[in-house]
Amino acid sequence: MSKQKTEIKEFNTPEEFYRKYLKIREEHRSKGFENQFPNFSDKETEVEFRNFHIAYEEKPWTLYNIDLKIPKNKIVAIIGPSGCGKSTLLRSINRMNEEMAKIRTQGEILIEGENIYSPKVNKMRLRTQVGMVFQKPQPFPRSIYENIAFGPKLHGIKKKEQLDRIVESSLQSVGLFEEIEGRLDDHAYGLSGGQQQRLCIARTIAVRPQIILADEPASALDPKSTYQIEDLLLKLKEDFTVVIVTHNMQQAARISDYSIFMYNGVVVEYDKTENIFEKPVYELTENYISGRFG
Amino acid sequence: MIQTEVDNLKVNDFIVNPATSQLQKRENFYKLIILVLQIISVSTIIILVAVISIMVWFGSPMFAYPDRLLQMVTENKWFPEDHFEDGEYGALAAIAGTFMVGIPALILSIIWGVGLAIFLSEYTRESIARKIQPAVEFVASVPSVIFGMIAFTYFFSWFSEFFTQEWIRGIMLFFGYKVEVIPKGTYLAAAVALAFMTTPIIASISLDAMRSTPLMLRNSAKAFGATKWEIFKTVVYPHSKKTIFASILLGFGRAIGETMVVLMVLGNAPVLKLDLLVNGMTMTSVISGYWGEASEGSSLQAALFVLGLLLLSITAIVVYLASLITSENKAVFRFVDVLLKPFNYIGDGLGSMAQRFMQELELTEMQIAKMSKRRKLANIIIGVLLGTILLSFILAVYVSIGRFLISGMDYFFAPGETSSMYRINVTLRGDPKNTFVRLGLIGLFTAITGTISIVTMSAAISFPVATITGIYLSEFAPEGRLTIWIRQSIININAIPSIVVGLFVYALFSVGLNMGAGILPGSIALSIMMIPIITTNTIEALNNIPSHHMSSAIALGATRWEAFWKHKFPYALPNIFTGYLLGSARVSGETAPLLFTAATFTPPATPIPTNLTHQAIRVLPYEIYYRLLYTTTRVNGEKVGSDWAVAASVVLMLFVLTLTVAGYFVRTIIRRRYAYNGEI
Repeated sequence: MSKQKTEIKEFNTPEEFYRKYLKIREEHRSKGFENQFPNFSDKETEVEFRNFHIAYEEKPWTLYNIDLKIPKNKIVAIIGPSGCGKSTLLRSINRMNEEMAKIRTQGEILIEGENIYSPKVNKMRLRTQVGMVFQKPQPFPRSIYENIAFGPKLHGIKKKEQLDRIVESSLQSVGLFEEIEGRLDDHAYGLSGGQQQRLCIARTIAVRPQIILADEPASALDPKSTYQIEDLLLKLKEDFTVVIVTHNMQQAARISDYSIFMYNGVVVEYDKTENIFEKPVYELTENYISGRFG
Repeated sequence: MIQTEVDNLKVNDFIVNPATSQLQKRENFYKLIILVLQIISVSTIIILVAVISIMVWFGSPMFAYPDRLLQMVTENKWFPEDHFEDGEYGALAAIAGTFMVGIPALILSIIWGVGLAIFLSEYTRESIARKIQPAVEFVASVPSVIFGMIAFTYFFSWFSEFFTQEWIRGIMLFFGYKVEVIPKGTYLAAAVALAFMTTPIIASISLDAMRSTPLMLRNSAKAFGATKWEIFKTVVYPHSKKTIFASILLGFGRAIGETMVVLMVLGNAPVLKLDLLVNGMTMTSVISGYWGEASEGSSLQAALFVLGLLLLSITAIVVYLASLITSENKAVFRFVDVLLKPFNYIGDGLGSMAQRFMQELELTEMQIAKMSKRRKLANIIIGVLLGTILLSFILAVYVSIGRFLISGMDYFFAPGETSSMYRINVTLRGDPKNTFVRLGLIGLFTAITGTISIVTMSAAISFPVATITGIYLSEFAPEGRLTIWIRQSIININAIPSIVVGLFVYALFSVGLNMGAGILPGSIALSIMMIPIITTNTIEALNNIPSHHMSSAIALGATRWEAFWKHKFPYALPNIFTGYLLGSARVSGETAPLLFTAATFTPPATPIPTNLTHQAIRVLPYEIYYRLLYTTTRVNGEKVGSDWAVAASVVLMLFVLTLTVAGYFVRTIIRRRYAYNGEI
């Protein structure tokens, strides 16, 4: 299949870029390309972005007009060069952006049909539904048990047996329970980097979210631990929807079902992962994937 | 241990589904907490405004006499009378004297402070520097009365020995200065003692700034083959100069506001002469020296308040200049840059000037080799120079303190007619056989309990306020005008001279709220001194803890407060606690604010005061001061006052030392319990 060569040149703000992108998209469509974002029925959809914009303080929009649906029980990878807004997009799903700076938004993000940016929504409840795993393994400087029990305790689970079972099942589902052989009261810093990251995933699972957001969860780990984490994410897909930001193209190709390619605050391409990696529609996507910039 | 019926455990066995009412409750609690934090933090603004307005209010009787105000700053006649019409209120000698002490102290502490900061950051390995640093910083917690005692006891004889040597006389004469009889207590002696106190301030702030130079910059300078001195000059200095100069100004502010040293050393004589080897007076020494004569509501009292206001304005200007230097304003930045330009070339004279010159010529390899030799030589010479500066400071301070303490120990342990135990006993309990109850021979026991009670009480007042303000500022304060005001208030309260704090508390609490002299007004005064210390320390302790634990907790659904309380505050606790103990050590030696508000020489009926107000107490630092200056009692022909002052100094030093050591000790213990071993 011959590819349409189109240059996307210099631009300043995501807004300006989006205008150019629209033109190019129309051109593509007129030439008969299938460049619609994947569509899912309401039942299949976990998160829906509706013309979502976000900006920090008084600066111009950081993300411009995000309009897509994330399917249930799939792994969706967000890829793109540094500073394109991947992490901002990820964090806007559990509203962590506003914990770091003042933000303003436009448009909606729907989870179970409810706009999470509406004033009625409780941020704390939202975060029990949408868990997050950070880039570096960052367990609390406490025992393994306390690390996992922190979330459930916070949300009112006080009975020891219940907590025990939550801790246990969470550790089991990340495959750490056997490895630590019941040394639950050991300090979390005694674990290896990969184990620490899995502990962090277990900690997130312990509050029973529907969605797990992972911000480059394996970028600070060695290859073996990375492989374990990837394996784990693939397993978790059965129970959770996973959205992952990654810089690692192979990782995205290996584990994700769908991929979102972002550039300059705009979602350029969103499709099944194999399509993105094998026959990207835009030259920009192809350049990025083949490593010509990043 | 957990039962292993795990096979049928599924991930969604327990749904964590907090009730909406529960969430609402937690959120409301968060809002309430923030409100409380904010309200308490605002109290710092109130303190600052109150200090300024009370000073103006009590000085206001004098504002009706503009000629008297003018006289204050232009004439050198100080004969206060009951009414402004009669007396003379020229305090020019005191105003000039403030700078006559301040400027030499400033010069000396720049050389010592900046010199040893450069040496510790550039010329020593960090592991070694970290061991030397506490020795320098400990000097900051030595009470000013002790330095006053040291200057009083030794500097006179040292100076007169030094300046009466023929060759020194010769050199001085060459510069047109004829050394005459050196009086006991000179500007120079006070300045050296003050430099002891301000050097640690300048050194530790500058050192922090120099250390914060990005490693990348240092390494790239190193990669170009720069010597240690060149790294400092080209990379570290440009990066840290603003902070260095701000720290110098802060040190200067502290020096001109210092009371006890000048009061004990200068002799309070109205001499208006540009000469460092004479008696003199400063604004602080006039205020404290004439306070005893000022009856309530008299014109003298108003004049002293005006003098205090003047001092407050001078320190406020100094603080303002410091904030200008560190501001991000571009015009100011450029101005400061031009101002500091000469300092950029200080090191150039030694060898590297030649290097610049030679760069203009075409260089042969021989010449380059020569040049690098010269650069290396310059590096070594400067290193030796800075090392000498460090050594001279450590030696000067520790030899003085050491000798002083040893002579104090002699008082207890030297062989004599009476046993050591007896002497310690008498020092603490007093001499039951002796009838000189009024002077000297009252035991120190009630002074020790008095100090402990007043420090405890001021801790009870200031720790909550200061810790909460620190927490609010570092974690929860939104960017806005109020936050800036709170920050500025803390900086300014920190710069208020201790004597002005004393005046303020006297005016508002002792007189205005009719508390008289007692432990409550006294500890309020000490609290005002302590709040900025503890606040700054709390902010620093919290900033040292990485914020990602809080983010993780928030991502798990915690409110900001819950995240902070569970996963930041506990980890910062060891350092916050150390700050408490060091802050207490610092204020336990404060004397000036207690002069008018709490301290007395009369022994109380009970060791611990029974009333919060109208019951003056004995405190150790005041004991030292009083005994040194007012005791004339002779026992068997010996003047006992100064000996007793030395004994009291030893006890005070032990007190401060105990608190300081306890600070570091407690930190290690808590650190072990709340181990935070993560990368900081």
